Amino acid sequence: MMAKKIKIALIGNPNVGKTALFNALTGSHQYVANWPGVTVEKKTGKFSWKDYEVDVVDLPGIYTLRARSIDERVARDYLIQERPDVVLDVVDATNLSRNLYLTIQLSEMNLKTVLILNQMDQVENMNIKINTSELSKRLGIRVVETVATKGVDLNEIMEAALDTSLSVRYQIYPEPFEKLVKKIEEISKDELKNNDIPLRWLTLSFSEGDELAKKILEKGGLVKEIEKAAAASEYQNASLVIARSRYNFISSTLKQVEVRPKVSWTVTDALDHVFTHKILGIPIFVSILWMMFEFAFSSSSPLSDLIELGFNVLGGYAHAIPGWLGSLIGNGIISGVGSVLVFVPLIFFMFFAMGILEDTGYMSRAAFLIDRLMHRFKLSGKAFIPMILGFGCNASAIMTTRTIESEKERLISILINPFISCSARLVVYAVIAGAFFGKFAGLVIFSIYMISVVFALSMAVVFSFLLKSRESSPLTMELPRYQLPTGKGLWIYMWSRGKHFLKKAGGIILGATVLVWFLSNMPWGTNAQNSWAADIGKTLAPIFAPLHFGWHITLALLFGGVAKEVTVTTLGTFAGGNLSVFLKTVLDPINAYALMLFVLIYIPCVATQAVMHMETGSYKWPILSVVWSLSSAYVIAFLFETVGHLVVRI
Amino acid sequence: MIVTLRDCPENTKCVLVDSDIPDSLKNRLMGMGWLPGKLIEVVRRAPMGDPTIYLVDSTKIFLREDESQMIKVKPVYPMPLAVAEKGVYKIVSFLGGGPRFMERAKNNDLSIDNIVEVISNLLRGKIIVIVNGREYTIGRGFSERIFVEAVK
Ligand SMILES: Nc1nc2c(ncn2[C@@H]2O[C@H](COP(=O)(O)OP(=O)(O)OP(=O)(O)O)[C@@H](O)[C@H]2O)c(=O)[nH]1
Ligand SMILES: [Mg+2]
Repeated sequence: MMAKKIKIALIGNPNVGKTALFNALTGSHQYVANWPGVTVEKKTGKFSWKDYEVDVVDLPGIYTLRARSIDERVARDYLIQERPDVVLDVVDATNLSRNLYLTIQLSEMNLKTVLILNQMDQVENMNIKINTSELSKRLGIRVVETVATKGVDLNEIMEAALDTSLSVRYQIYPEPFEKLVKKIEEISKDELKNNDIPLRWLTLSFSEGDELAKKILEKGGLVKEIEKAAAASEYQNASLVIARSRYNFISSTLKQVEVRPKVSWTVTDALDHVFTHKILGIPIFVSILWMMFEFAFSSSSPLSDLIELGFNVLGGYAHAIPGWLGSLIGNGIISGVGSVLVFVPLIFFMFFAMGILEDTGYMSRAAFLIDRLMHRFKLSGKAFIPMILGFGCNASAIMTTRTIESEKERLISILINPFISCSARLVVYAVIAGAFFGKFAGLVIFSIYMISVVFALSMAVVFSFLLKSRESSPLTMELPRYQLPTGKGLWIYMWSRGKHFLKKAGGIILGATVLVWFLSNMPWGTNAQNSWAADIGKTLAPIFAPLHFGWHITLALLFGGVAKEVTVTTLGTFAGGNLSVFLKTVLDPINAYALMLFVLIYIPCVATQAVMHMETGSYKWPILSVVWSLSSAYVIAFLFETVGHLVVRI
Repeated sequence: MIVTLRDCPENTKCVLVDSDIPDSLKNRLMGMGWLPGKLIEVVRRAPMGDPTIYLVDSTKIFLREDESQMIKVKPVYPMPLAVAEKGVYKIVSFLGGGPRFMERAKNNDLSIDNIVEVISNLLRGKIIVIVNGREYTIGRGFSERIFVEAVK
């Protein structure tokens, strides 16, 4: 028998658990975190149930169908253009009065809707009573209770999704206004009958002043006539009437189905009292960041040492293999790629710490604390979240700029993001600082991070001047409830992000390192000094002569443009097993710090450039970013060296 | 008195009055439950004075000064003296109240259940009041921590 196909979309307010539900339905591991605006593009998945083949689409969160930022438009446009067979309207059941607003809008779009009351565990915790069957009857749609993070009952959801016995027919607006709506529908009916646009949504949105609705009606040449009809009624600006009618309907419904205990001082309130405190707030924020690094470094170092030991032993065996194979494995793979793999635990622990930050709900508090400062740099608290995420990976952080409404502010956030030091660069610092600064390595690395933030913010000012961006967009950001991250959630978070790094190590990093090894052994049999690699390095080295970078470093920086870790692996292939000893022969501490600065600023990696291109829709910005960062890296490293060598004579 | 949300110090409760904010912001706020008539609680101002966390229904959101300034509200009792218009009030509570605060309160004849008359409150700078027949000038920061009720 042929499988029946059905298309289901997940929609709802931000941070209610849509992606958690998506993961539960499809068994995938999409990015879940406790702040609004995590999902910024549509994600598709599949599952089969009985003889149905179900396509599921996870969408960015929206408060209303009136989309402003890019992520919101993705969700809205999907509903209008793709017309899914069923929408699962996921709501935070502890906050129905706000969440049902969107539910009403969905019904006006004439979409078959199933209401998913998610976070039922929290409902229980908060002692809220919801009469689900009554709610279902009053709304005219099926209602299913879930706890998405603990898995779902597929049968229940699918039966509700396929149920056609109920239908929505509430008329919630004042009679005269309903008449106007009917009239507008009448006017537009003939003109628009060919495109599949829900008329009731169109007319209501137009009355609310929605730009998209206006555009559609303008295309049909209908605006004049409709405005005339509206002028004849008392509803020229109906947005307030519409919103009020919706909320009246919601509150009268909820009076019958929901009992909430008197609110008292909650855990979230208590925590907020401390975390957003006037005096303590910012010191706590800084210490949390510091603790994150400290935690990642100290808990990973025993593991790193162990791995390093392992590679040393392996290296010994490899060198025992005669001929080119021994050299490839010993110098290329183990000494090269191994020098990066040593830091796998560091990267994983770093992501673990970031997972805690993201899943507790602290993220939006941090945005709140720091917003004023960001404002001074012509950015908003929303632009702060991509910056923090940039510590993990710039490429994925740049995607989250989609929540920023102002186009220019978004562009600036994209352009400054590569200056935020990602985890790939952490590997480079760890190697260099470890070799040169001994027990001050941690402090040295932290200083680079500080410089990274300061530099990114200063560039924001420069770019906003160049782009004539006058102000940041209005900011309305929700503060979610705090929650204790679950072990499983953290594990999935850490693994799905850390996995990238492993993949990269096995792919692009390995490839580039083997290439470097090959170049450094050609023409066959020469020593590194006379190899092709040396030729390339030496040809370009004069450019870096003012920075006192020799040809090894030049070559490493060249290949590091592909992925920053390759800087380390390239040097590793020349090091013959002991990278820190080798580094000391080609750099002094001042050079070494300058090199760290250079690596921090120069060139976004290939993946980041690709995302920049995708998100800005033009090659102009990635190219600008490359040129800009290269030249600023050069200038800053040069200045640092000049001053450094003046002060400290080595 | 109708004031802007920006004028309301922490812990003020107020009712949203129809406002002339730009359409885009208004729509977004409405989607979050901010409708005329809704009760807003001013929860917390950020360390550098901006932005501010507000609570409506059970949702906390934060807004910046620029936006708060456009939103008109009417404080409800008990309200901080800082947003009380001309008139006669009874003091119902103090917020905080370390020894220095209580000392200052005493110097101004301010104590719980005392009657104060607000003579002038420009929502900026000092407030002039009459307590027990004597005139006092009260600083803004201080007035934000004195909560009053109307006297019938
Ligand atoms: N207690 C509880 N927490 C949940 C439940 N479902 C989701 N969460 C948590 O809620 C937070 C948000 O979940 P997401 O799935 O990322 O929410 P979303 O709706 O996809 O959010 P956006 O993509 O930002 O719109 C996460 O921290 C989840 O762990 C639930 O049923 N119960
Ligand atoms: Mg999501």
